[in-house]
Amino acid sequence: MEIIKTEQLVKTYADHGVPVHALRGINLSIERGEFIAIAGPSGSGKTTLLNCIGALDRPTTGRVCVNEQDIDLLDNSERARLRLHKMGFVFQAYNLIPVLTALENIEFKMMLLGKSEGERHELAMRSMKELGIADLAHKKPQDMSGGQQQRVAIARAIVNEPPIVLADEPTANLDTENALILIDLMREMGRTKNVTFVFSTHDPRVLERVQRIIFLRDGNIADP
Amino acid sequence: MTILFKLAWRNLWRNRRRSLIILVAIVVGVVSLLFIEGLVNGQLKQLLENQIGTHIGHLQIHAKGFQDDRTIQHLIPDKKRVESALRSLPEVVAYSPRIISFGLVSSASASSGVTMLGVDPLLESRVSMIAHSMTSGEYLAGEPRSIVIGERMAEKLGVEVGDKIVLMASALDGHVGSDAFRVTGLFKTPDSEFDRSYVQVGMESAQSMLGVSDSVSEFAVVLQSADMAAAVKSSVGSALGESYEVFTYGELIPMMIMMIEVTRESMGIYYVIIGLATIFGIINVLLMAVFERIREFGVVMAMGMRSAQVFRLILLEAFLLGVLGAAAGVLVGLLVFWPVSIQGLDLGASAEAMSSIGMGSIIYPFLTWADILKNILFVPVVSLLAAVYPAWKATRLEPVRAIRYV
Ligand SMILES: Nc1ncnc2c1ncn2[C@@H]1O[C@H](COP(=O)(O)OP(=O)(O)OP(=O)(O)O)[C@@H](O)[C@H]1O
Ligand SMILES: [Mg+2]
Repeated sequence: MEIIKTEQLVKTYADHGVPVHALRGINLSIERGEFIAIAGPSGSGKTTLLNCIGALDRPTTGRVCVNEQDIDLLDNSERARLRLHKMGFVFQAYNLIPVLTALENIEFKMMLLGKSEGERHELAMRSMKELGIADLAHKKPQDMSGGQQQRVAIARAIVNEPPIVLADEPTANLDTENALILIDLMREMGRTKNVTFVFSTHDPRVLERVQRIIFLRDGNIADP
Repeated sequence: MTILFKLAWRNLWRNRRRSLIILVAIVVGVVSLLFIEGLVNGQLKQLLENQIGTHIGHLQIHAKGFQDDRTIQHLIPDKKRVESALRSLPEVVAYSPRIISFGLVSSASASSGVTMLGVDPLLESRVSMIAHSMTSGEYLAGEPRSIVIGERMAEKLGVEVGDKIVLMASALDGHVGSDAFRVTGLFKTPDSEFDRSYVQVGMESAQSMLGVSDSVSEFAVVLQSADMAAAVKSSVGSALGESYEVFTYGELIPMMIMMIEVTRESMGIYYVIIGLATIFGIINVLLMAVFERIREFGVVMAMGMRSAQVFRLILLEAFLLGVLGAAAGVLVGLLVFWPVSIQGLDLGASAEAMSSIGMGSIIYPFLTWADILKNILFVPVVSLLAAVYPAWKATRLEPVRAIRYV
């Protein structure tokens, strides 16, 4: 069953009245549990595609279906619910709330999910252990390296085992070693928890480790 | 809840300096509110107590009609009956019968209109402050034809203790009674108007001059507390019946009571002024705090935090700020206030003007629990109000734009 499907997805921005064609008709089909990279040069539409799939942005025309549900038909609060329960997000940087510790950042998402206090703590701790970062639990973001922060962000994204995790250039601020560690971790989590990872990157060393790559060029899917 | 609380609390201290500045502003506001409130409380209480204490008392009992037509003809029908009614009431602390007439007092050099009170010195000294406000000479001690007058009247008449003055007043039979009195003492009360126009003489001297044998025109009554006036009025009223009239101090000095109420109500303006200043301060601080965190809000909203939750978070931050400000303000306020309320505040220069409305120059400010509670609630409520706009601003953020924002 396909968990994500886009049909003729078009996104056109208006930049001071000039139309910018960020996506020009993307047809995509992604199965549950896939590990997928979206690659392409700067400005090719990677972020825009992830935002449309992640119910953060609305397409100009075309459809995005998640779990066979057309998400454009949802209102804003239903989309917030969808993101909270069915998706995890990791951004390029500054993912964590600076005044909360790593553990509290993860607990914060559990609170949004309406989990009881005991459950919050237990699940947050478990997901940190799974990622091998239990020792970071009581550190604030400012006391962690970029790689550590991104691992905490992944722990937060998967803590409630959503079917989809979307990551926009999660390794862009990391050195090669840390980037590869993070990618391996993501793939491992995807495999053990049957989570669909879709992430963007333009780092060729990262791409070597990915089974399926979607190349974007000028808002179109291109052959590699 | 706890994690949201932690988040709000720590966000408050993200920019320590900014939070401290707004807190100091709130503290200054609360302290000044408490101070104004306490000072006005003290002034109004003193004003009322001075009126009650110079001669009004908490209750007055007269023959029916006296209040409208204060003449010697309206005499209490049965003095004994009033006394026994008053004695039977545990709320009554003291009472003083008085014979009252209006007339003229003259010295060798000047004369002046006067209200003459014939009193029993012992009973009167328990009801009014005159006996305790002598500045020279002695209070009445029972010798016939002695008189005590206010310092101001003594100045006007050009007399001193020991001098003789002549009193003339309308007597019961319609003639003018008159007699010579020796000044045994001068008094000074906080009410300069009273000092200018009232004199006290012994009961028998007054009665014989006015030709009223053993009758009196008034009973002034002091109760355990002022709040009892209305209740005691009704029980005394029903015990005495139709031919008497009983008034509470509130009915005897309605202008004063109105002035006190108007002053109390006008205190609201200080709350409005300080409240508005606080609101603008907090709006500023919170707007800055929201703009600094746009990217952070974008991330949590992308994660699925609903705008209502963001709204509540900012309100919670403002509320905590308000609670902290109120607590610190009340604490500092009470610490500053306490010694002043014990020592009193000398109004010095403005005291002269004050005394014409019956107020002393030293005010003892005080605060009621209600005043303190009002301030403890006021600031958090104001903070919540102030937070509405910045919080609404935050809910308008779109996650996609907010995340791209740097
Ligand atoms: N809000 C916007 N308004 C106008 N144009 C936009 C907006 N967002 C993106 N664009 C444009 O759309 C195109 C695609 O942008 P997008 O951010 O999706 O590219 P990207 O592949 O993520 O690039 P990068 O690798 O630099 O992150 C670009 O030309 C960009 O300038
Ligand atoms: Mg991008």
